[in-house]
Parts: sequence; C-alpha cells; structure tokens
Amino acid sequence: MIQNLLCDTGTGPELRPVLQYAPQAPKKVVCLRMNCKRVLGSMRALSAGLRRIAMALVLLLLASCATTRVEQSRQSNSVLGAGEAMVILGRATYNDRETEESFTDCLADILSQGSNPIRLVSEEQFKDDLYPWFEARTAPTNANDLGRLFAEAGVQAQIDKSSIRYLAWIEGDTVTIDKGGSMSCALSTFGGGCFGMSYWEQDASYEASIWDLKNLTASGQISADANGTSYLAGLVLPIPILARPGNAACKGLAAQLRVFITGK
Amino acid sequence: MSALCTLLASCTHTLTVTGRIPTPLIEPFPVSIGLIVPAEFSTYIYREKLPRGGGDWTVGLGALQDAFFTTLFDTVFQRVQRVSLPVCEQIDAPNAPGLGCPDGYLRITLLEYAFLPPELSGLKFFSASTKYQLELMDAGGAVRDTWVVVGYGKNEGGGFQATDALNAASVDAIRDAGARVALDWSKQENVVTWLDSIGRNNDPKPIM
Repeated sequence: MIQNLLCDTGTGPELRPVLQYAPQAPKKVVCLRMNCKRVLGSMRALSAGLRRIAMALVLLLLASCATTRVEQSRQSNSVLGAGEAMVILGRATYNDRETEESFTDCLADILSQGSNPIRLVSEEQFKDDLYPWFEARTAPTNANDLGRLFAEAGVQAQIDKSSIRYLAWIEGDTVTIDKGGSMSCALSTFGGGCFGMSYWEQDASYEASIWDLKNLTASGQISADANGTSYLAGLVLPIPILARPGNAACKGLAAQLRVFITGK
Repeated sequence: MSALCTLLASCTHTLTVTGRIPTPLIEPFPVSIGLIVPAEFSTYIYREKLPRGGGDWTVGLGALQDAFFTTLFDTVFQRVQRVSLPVCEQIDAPNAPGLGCPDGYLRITLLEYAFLPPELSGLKFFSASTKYQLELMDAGGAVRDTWVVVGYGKNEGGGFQATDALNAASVDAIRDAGARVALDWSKQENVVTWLDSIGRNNDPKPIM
C-alpha cells in the first residue's frame, strides 16, 4: 500500500504538490516545510494588520490541502515493452455519475510527458478503430470477456496494428460531500466588496483497472482517493482557496500507473 | 447562464452536429439490400424552445446521421443500393445494369430526437437520445420486421460550452444506435427468420 500526501493549492509555485511514496516520505515532507517557511518569512516584512490577514490566508492555504491515498493490487509482473502503447478509457455509465473526461485527459497529459513518457493511443482513435466493440453499451465489462472479443479476428488484428499492450479503464468521480458558510457582496457609489466565507468539501475517488491485451488478462488495479476542502474568503475581494482533490487524485493515480506500467 | 438568458430575453443556440464517422469492424452480412432513406433524414433539423430561460435551440442532425448510417450500412451489408421504393425495377434500371434484385429492402427513419441540458435535468451533463426505426421488407416489398432502436449519449459541459457538449452527446447517441444496429439487428427474431428464408447465415463475424 502506498500513501500520498498532496498539497495542491493552485495558487502558484510556492506550495507545490508534494507526492511521496512511503520510502521517500521524510525527504518530501522537508520540502513542504521549506516552502511554507519561505511564505512565513516573507510575512515578517508586512505591517501588523496585513500580517493578521496574511496569517489567516496562510492558515486557509494549509487547511485547503487535499489528502490522497493510493492503493495498488497487482496480478502480473509484465511491463510495457519497447514500442508498445497504452490506451486510457473512461468507463461510461448510464446513471448520473460518470468518470469526467477532464480526468482521463489529465491522466493522459501526465503519462505522455515527463522523463519516462508512455506512448498513448487516444480514446477517440481507439474507439473509432474498434467500433462498435468499445462503445458504452458494448464494451467488455471484465477481462474475462477479452478472450471472446479477441476471438473475433478483426479485433486482434487492429490491436496488433496499433501495438496496444495495456488498456486502463478509469472509473470514479469527484463529488461535493459538504458545503456551508455564506458570503455577501455589495456595490455602492463609495465602492464595494465581499465579506464572509464559504467552503465546500469534495471527495475524489477513482480506480484504474489495467488489462493486459497481450495475455488477455487483468494485470491489476490502482485506486486513488483524495479529499479536500476549498474556501472562498470575502476580504473585500473574494479570494478562492482551492483544494482540487480531483487534480490531486489524478496526479497520484498517474504517478502510480506509470510505475505499474513501466516498472520504474 | 439561465439567469443571463432570462435577462437577455432569450438565448439562441444553433448547432450543426459534426463528428468522426467510424467504419464498423464487422464482416458484411451476405445479403444485398435496397436502402430506403427518406429525404428528410439527411436534412433533419430539430428546433425547440426550452422552458425556464433555456433558450431557443436549432440542432442540425441530418447531415451527420445520413453520412454515419451510409457508412454503417455499406459495411454491414455485402451490397447496398439506395432506392426510393421497395421495388426491384429501381435497381434493374438501365443505368445500373447487372446489379439484380436485392434480397430485401431496409427503410431507416428517425422517429425522435431529444436532448436535455443540465439546467433542466439538474445533472452536470447534456444528454441526447435518438430513436430510429428499421423496417425490413422482403424482395416482394412485404414488411417482415419493424425494429425500433434508441441511442443515448451524454457529455459533461454547460455554460459557454453548451453547443460543444450537445454536439458530443448527439454524436454519442448516433454511435450508440449504430452499434446496436450493427450488432443486434440481425438477432431480431423476424430478421433471423427472413435470413433463414433466403438461405443466408445471420451470424456476423468481424473482418480480418
């Protein structure tokens, strides 16, 4: 099991997302503290009144961190070979909850970049090439169905043509589980402003089921759960302090998926 | 957005649905079909004024659905010839010699198109549905089967991306219906009986 802590404020480079795996945790935590000290140090130059406001903001910044938990189970040790590709598919459902396209786009963006990029086939291209076998209504629901689907010779040939080794089904969504507070804004001839504070807590829960299209088996699952509270503080100007647990879950899941697929 | 629409009296959204048209990975049925497509199928435009400040919507669906099902039927059947009536003389016309009479005729009709924006559904996505009717006639023009298939699609989005979201949802609804036609039409009891009666295997197999 791997636990991640992500502080994702979305307010600039000072407080970068911190992602640590268990063996490297101490090093990364120090990094977070250093960043926070830098923020606190710069506050000493401010006047007393501004310092109080800034202190309140820093407390909110720290409070708006999203906590992420990533877990993995693995059923095989195979990894992506040279020239092989992966496709990421959002699992479509016919109820009111569905994996957001922005989440799978986020995963694809992260995995296709960096020092160890993975070759990805886009969801649109994959579904077009294999139409009508991977539509919402017709897609296989578990890896046991792969054998039957791949017995259809055209499907196997198309997969081979694209050199697709892994298919990652992404399920889950981000929901608001609590919200409260109030804020009012006023505008007059003397000026205007907003006062008050509102907050909302979101929970992002996603799971990636990875299928090996070469061996026609399930390779494993990775789940990422992130929780965070965002604030909108009205101090004349409305100041949003966003936790973005969906983004945190995406980064956590992408990092673990990369290790799972490439072995490094 | 709804409030803004109300303030502006009405918002007008005009959309011509566009999207990629996939070629099905299906081995053609060993039958020849005379395809009857009503003229309004390729020119269909849906118009609706939504309640509660939802605005006026004009959705041009015809061009895409015509191109989509043309590609689909061209792949699903061994030979397809567009005709206007279920009579053999149309295909045996002098300008199309050697085609012979088709094994049967298929008429596709759009019965209904509908969509629901997030403002009305309370959900965070646009949803769209298409309802098509496939009418199978034998070589003599007698109706052998009538099958109604519903396609559904949805896409997250709203506000200023409303037309993009509805476009994507509508494309998905057409694709969904097309997938059912490609995979399930031949399994309908009357279709199986018809295929048996003309001595054709109705079990589709993907192409190599």
